Amino acid sequence: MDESTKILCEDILREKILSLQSDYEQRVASLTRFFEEAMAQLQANEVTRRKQLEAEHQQQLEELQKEYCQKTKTLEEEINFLNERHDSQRLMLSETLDYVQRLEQELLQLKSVISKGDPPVC
Amino acid sequence: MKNVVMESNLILEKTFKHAILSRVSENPDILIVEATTSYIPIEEFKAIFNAIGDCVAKQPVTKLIFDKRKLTVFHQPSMEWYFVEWKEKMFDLGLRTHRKILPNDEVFKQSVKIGRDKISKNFPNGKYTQMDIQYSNTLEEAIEK
Repeated sequence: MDESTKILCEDILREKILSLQSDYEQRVASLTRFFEEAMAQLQANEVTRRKQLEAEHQQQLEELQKEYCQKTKTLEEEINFLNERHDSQRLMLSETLDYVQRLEQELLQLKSVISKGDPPVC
Repeated sequence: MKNVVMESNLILEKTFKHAILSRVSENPDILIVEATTSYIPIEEFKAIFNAIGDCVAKQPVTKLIFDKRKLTVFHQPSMEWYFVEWKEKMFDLGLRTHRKILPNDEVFKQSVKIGRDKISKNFPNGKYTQMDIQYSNTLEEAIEK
């Protein structure tokens, strides 16, 4: 190969290498951009997901609190009902007992009257 | 042969925690208040009978049936209010026929008797004395008589 052809080949080779290098650098830059965008999106998604999880957790806590408040209220109402019923039951039985005692008294008095009226046994 | 009163013969008027209020479909001037628990707290008792008073004021009711068969606990103050205050108002509104169905519970029945005796003694001139108040054994009998 003569010198001029050799120089020409070297020039062509250098240009091709430069062109390849330029392509390579563009592709690296493109890949890097893609990667950075993907990472940024991932971070943004994480923030959104975290906020979503926090909101769901808060809502579930509030629903649980509401449920247990209602259960407590129902239990208190049940206890009040049972207390009132118990008091009324005691009153009912007390009045019935008074009535029975009054009847017993009347019965005793009646027996006493009857026995005084009985003729003496011979 | 007496017909059994089916649920379909009754029109539900109102539901309370411890009672339900119905009307007889063939005789809409008859109201039935049925206790659904063993005891009716006094505040709810008043709310139930005040609601009956509202029904009576809106649409003529000539007979009220109080079905107490599920009750096991009698409450004297409630009974006094019922006879002395509530029945006074109902008399003026035209509701003068009352039928009661008692539970098959001798203690309860005796308590009712003691309660009524007390009321008669303490409030002998109440308008309830002019009412037609009777006891029945069944709902059918209470509707018929």
